[in-house]
Amino acid sequence: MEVLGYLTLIIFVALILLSLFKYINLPVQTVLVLTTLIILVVGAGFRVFSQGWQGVFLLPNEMVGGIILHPITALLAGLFLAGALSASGGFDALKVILNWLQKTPIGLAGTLVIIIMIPAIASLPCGRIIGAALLPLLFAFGMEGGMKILTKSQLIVLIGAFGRNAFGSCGPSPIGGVGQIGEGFLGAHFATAADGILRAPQAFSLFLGTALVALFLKMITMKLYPDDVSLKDLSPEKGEEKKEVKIEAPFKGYLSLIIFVAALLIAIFQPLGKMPVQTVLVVGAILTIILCRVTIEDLMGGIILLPVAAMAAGFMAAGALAATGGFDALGNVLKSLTVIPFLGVAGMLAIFVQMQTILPLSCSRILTAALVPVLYLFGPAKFNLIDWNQLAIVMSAYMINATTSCGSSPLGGAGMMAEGQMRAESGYIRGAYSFGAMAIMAPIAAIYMKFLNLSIFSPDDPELVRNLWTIGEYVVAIVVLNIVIIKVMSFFLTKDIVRSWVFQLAGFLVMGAIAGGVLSLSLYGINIVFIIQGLTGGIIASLIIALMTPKSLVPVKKEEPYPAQGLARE
Amino acid sequence: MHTIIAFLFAGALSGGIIAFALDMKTPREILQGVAGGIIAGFLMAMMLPR
Repeated sequence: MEVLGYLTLIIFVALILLSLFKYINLPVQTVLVLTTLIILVVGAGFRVFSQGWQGVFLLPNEMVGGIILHPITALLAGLFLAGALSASGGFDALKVILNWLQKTPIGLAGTLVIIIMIPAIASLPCGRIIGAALLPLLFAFGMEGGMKILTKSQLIVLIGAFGRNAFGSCGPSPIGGVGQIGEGFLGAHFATAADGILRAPQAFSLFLGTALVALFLKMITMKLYPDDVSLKDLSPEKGEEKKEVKIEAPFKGYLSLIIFVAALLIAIFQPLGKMPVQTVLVVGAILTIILCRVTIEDLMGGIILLPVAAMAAGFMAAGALAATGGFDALGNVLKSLTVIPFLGVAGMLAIFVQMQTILPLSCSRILTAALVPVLYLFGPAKFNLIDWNQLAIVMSAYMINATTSCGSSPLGGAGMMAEGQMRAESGYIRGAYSFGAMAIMAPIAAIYMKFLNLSIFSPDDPELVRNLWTIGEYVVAIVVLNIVIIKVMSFFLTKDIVRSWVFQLAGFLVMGAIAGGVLSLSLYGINIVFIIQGLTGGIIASLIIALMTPKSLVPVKKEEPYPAQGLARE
Repeated sequence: MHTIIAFLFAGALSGGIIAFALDMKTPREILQGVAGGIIAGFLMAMMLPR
């Protein structure tokens, strides 16, 4: 069984890596289904000799038994409701509200901040839904979109930051979010974990991570890849007139938005008594379909199936790995890392929480379904490397890092939607997104879990305290350090591609080390050995992440120069 | 209450940084960004288990 576990683990990792480096040109879901079949065949071959035919016949059952259905059905129900919202013009109603918001005292700046943060607040089960609905609105703020309010540089920051927020918002979603996979496992100890033990740490770090990604895009990405966005800029010479684009929404759009918000609130706070989240969402979707008269064709157009397919494929591969001992093998491999003196448990965990940014796939659910069970095994359930509270801290850091990984994936990741909208080359935002997930989100999520959320979900534990002041100190320290490092990196960037990339690499290493150190601090308190181990693990993880960041991008096709002072065509 | 305070803080800080990154650097624009962030943070906190 042990040899079989290592063999199936090698098959799984090899096929994922071959996909990531594009040696296999198939959708990741297809590769995962093939992986599952290969693992099952190999497993069956081994079992014929070790357990006979009965063991072979039990294998598919064991694989299916490893599939957790709750997140899949919650995701389907969430997508159903979001599809109904999209099809009935609910996002148009949202655009009207945002347009009105601009004219209030919070002005354009405040409105843009709210727009960027809306995905996290809306908490949809997949960021692609709100991305597809609102990215065209953001584009409209620029020269080509018609409003002519924002410059090219502002538009890049706006679209990039919105994308970062959107493509991490599936983590804290209570309606089939990625975090629910982890919450299911934490439910073994925390009685109310299913209420959303991982939601607040993810949302908190997503807010701050989004802001730092905006800064990274402004100060690093635009300097590193200066010619790789083909958006037109505003032309100050002629003073282009700003146009107010009239945005309208049908009545049914407002109605569907109200139903959506009501369903979301009922699903989260359960004011009508305990009931499955799926029931609330399906009822909400049916009400939307009936009251807003949405046709089946419109509804199907609003539903995005990629996350469901990704999640199902991920669970299938995870089930096959579980049945053949692959997780035990991975657990053993990672546990063996802990005996390396300068790495230890703290260093191994610092690498583990960055695993999905190291291996970014088109949907984070694929690897989350496979890796969360391994993380669970590190706890009291098997290896006993960490206790339940420490497991919750690591899980929160891992989860936000994982859920944001689709943003930086070159395999049809969600971030490519943002790149397409800003007319950028593929890979343009990868560095910023990876940096945000690695350097800011993971450590801040851990700090939030340690100093606030654990005491909320485990109120009877006298050791757990709510300490907002400490959270504030850590947040300010991490944010200031990030700003300083981004500023220093920006200062040293030149037209020399390799030199600039090396400085970026150095910045990644410094912040990776700090992220690893902060994780160790949140797990073990002030302990020099553990902090050094965390720093080492953070450096190793950030080195791999930085090495995968592109040095330069394929230049975009240059537009023909415009006749008079580079102004827009008549 | 702790969750709300934490998110008001995160929202305000994020809003200010985003406004700056968006080249909106006058005190008025930064404050507008902070205000937007506070609103976003409050809405987010309202959606979370407390």
